Amino acid sequence: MNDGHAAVTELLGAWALDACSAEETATVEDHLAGCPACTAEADRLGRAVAGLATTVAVPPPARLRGAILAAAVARRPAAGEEASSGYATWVDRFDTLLESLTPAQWRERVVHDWTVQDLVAHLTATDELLVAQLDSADDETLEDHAELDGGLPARRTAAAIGEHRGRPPGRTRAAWRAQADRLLQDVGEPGALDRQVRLADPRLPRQPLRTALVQRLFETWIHTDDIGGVLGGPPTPPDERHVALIVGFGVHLLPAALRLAGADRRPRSARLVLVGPAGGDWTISPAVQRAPARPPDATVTMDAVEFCYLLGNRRDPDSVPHRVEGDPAVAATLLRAAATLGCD
Amino acid sequence: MEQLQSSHPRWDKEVCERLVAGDEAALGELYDELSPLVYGLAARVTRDWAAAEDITQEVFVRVWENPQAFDPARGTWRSWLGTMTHRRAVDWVRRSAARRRHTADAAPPIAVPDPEETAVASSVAKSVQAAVDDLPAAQREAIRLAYFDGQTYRQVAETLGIPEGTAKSRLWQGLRRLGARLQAEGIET
Repeated sequence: MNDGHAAVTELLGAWALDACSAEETATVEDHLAGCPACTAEADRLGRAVAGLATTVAVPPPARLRGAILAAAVARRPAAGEEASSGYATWVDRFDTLLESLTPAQWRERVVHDWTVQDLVAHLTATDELLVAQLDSADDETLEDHAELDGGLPARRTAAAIGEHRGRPPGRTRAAWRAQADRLLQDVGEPGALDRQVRLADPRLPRQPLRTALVQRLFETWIHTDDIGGVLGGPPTPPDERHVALIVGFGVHLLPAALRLAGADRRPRSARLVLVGPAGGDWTISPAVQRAPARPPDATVTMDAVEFCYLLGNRRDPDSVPHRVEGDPAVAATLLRAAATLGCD
Repeated sequence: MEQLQSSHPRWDKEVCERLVAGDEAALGELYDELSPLVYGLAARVTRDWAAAEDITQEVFVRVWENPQAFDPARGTWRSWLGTMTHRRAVDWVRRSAARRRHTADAAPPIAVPDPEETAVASSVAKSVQAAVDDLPAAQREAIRLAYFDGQTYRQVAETLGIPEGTAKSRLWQGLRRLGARLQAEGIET
């Protein structure tokens, strides 16, 4: 089948200079997604084009710097210390909730076939994946285990649940809390937040500890909400500033989650519009985009808090309230990938 | 901690990781390093200082919102931001040309100083300029019209009175020659 390789080759120079029509640009980029030879040539031409830009550099007016940094942070808050204080907040809330439970409530089923006690054991196991990395001076500690696949958190969870069943619930709670406190102590060390660590799913790219802490915050929140729901209480959605952190975490890992789902074989981009106080607007693609200005193939609009529940796999990707414009298959792939970013 | 220079590939990677992590200082560093490139290129293509400011803001806010779109394995921040900027500047030029056609205004010459006169000549820029000056005149002119004036290859063909196929091949050959020369001189863009 002729996919227009020759025609695309002829257009590559003009394309690298943004001198093609919109239709030709789309043709070239569709072709590049599946042609390593043309991609290599495009990268070579791109390096020459990048050189051209240096010849016309002019410093912008000084006032622009502050305005631009402020506009950026208004769109996506800086992480800073927010992640560790947010995590500490949810550790306290979770602990307070556990403290209030009767022995019968500890045996209530929460999610999957897990009781409250199983759920706490699960949280302890996934927290431990992070704590073990911080406690070790050697960054590569987990590399030695020949188990760095997506099933790692599930195996650790199963082991922890087996270990804790039959123990007094107070001991399960104390073990979780002691480890959470150790984690909070570790993150207070100077420079700790920048340390590169693995997330619960070790197949995802390593992240700075501040990002991994958002995942801990997120998981501790969602289990607080899980247990609260079983006890008949109202939902406990995250605070607005925590929604912003969780949304940021999800949006930044979605491209990697899409790649794990194999969605980069025919990369399509989607615009994600999250509404609500901590919402925003992002373009997400499993591929590295040569063309950031190209229109997305689908736009998904939904509530930012609902998106947090979706990330925790507490909403069904097909039925979570959302609106799609454009290609429904692209939107569905995005929502399903989002639901894989939780920890259970 | 070791200070990395923007010419160092590790700088690109480190800045990217810090941006993904939400480190605002990394955005400031990227801005300090590359805002002249973004602003200068946008001003040169649009010939409009206000449009250049808007594009500069859009590019850096976009990078902050979506830093994971950049892959340090495939190129530098310089080339990535150059691509983002140029796309936006060319869109602006084409939109404003369409607007002018629509309102039947004659294209007004925009009174801005030519950024080339105030350009910051870095050592990379000087080497690139020398390489551009050494291109065959026909290729150099085609590239100038396409890249700095934002013309499509069809408009380049029309401006130069040459067939479209010739315009396409001049652009391609000019870039190849330029790229080969920069690579031979070890100039990292």
